[in-house]
Amino acid sequence: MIIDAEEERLFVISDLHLGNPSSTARGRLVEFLDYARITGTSVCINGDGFEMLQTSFTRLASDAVPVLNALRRLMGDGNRVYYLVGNHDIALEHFLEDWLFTQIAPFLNLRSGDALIRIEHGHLYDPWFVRSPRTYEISARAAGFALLVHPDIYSAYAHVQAKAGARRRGVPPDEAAAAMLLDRGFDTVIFGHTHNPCDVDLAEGHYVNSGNWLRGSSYVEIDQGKVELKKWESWRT
Amino acid sequence: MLLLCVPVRSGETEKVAIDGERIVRAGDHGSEMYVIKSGRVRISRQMAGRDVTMSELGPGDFFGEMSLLESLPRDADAISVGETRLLVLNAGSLLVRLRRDPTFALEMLHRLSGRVRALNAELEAALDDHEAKGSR
Repeated sequence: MIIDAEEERLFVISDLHLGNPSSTARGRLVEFLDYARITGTSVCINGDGFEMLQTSFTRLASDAVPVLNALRRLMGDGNRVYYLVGNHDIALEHFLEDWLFTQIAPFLNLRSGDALIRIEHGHLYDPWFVRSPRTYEISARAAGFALLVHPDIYSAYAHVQAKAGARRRGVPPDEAAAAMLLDRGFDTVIFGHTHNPCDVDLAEGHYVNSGNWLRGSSYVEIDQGKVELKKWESWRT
Repeated sequence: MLLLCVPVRSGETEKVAIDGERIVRAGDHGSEMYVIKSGRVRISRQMAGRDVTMSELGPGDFFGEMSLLESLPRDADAISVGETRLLVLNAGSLLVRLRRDPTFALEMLHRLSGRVRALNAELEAALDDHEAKGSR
């Protein structure tokens, strides 16, 4: 298991949910990964890259093949791919190492330039997940049907949950967790999981959420320790 | 002398050490471990009357956990290199930290495992050296 890495340039993407019937990531993602390859940038998939809780296997098969090929092209050119495990792909952990020919990690402590950056999916700090992972899994499976009604429903739910958490504790759970990690010497903390991209300067340091590719296309660019939240626009246009 | 000691959260405190300050001294009893928030710390031991630097640690690294975990005296000196900000954990606050921040436990295990592996390699090299000298 690796938990330490060094990269001067790295793209971080999260919550691709490949295999979820609501995911529109495939086409944009293949293009994005080719962009990373051409610019010589390593990529970190920060959890929930593949969908197991709300999956359609037909969809998983059709989504996975072009994305895995793009990842192989990226690695074939000497770039690295880091895959961090989230809460929707824990069951795939054993297979991912074989499929991707890359290292699977629970989180990454990344050194870039002079900065120390923590990259982690963030589900371990979601009070609903921590209280009962099994109940969370059952709820997530059931919620798969709600995604068919409106694909952005999880983003809205996570947003409401963050507001409720902030009302109870004075700060949203993801920001509280980021502050706790920043207290340990990290300059920036990058989470996914909530599906809501954000870039916040906390009293303890910098917190960025890489958002999602289920419907969105936000990513985090790390360049010589500088961390920036960006939105992917097709580079071919 | 530690300049500042302010409570942070759940029993954790923050300390600031000035350049050259001895944060822990080998042989002293201690019930705290330290996480480096900023700055650098040199870990050294007295060997055959000489001060030997074992490692230099930076932000995100930790030290002093052996005394905390085993309730045994400090094994080495830790000296601040420049001004250093430290997060200080005792047994109670470590337990709270592990409950709220489970990745910290994995990081501790990872570092300790790395140290055991390095010591095994050193022991093996020392034994090979010893055998080579004996066969001459």
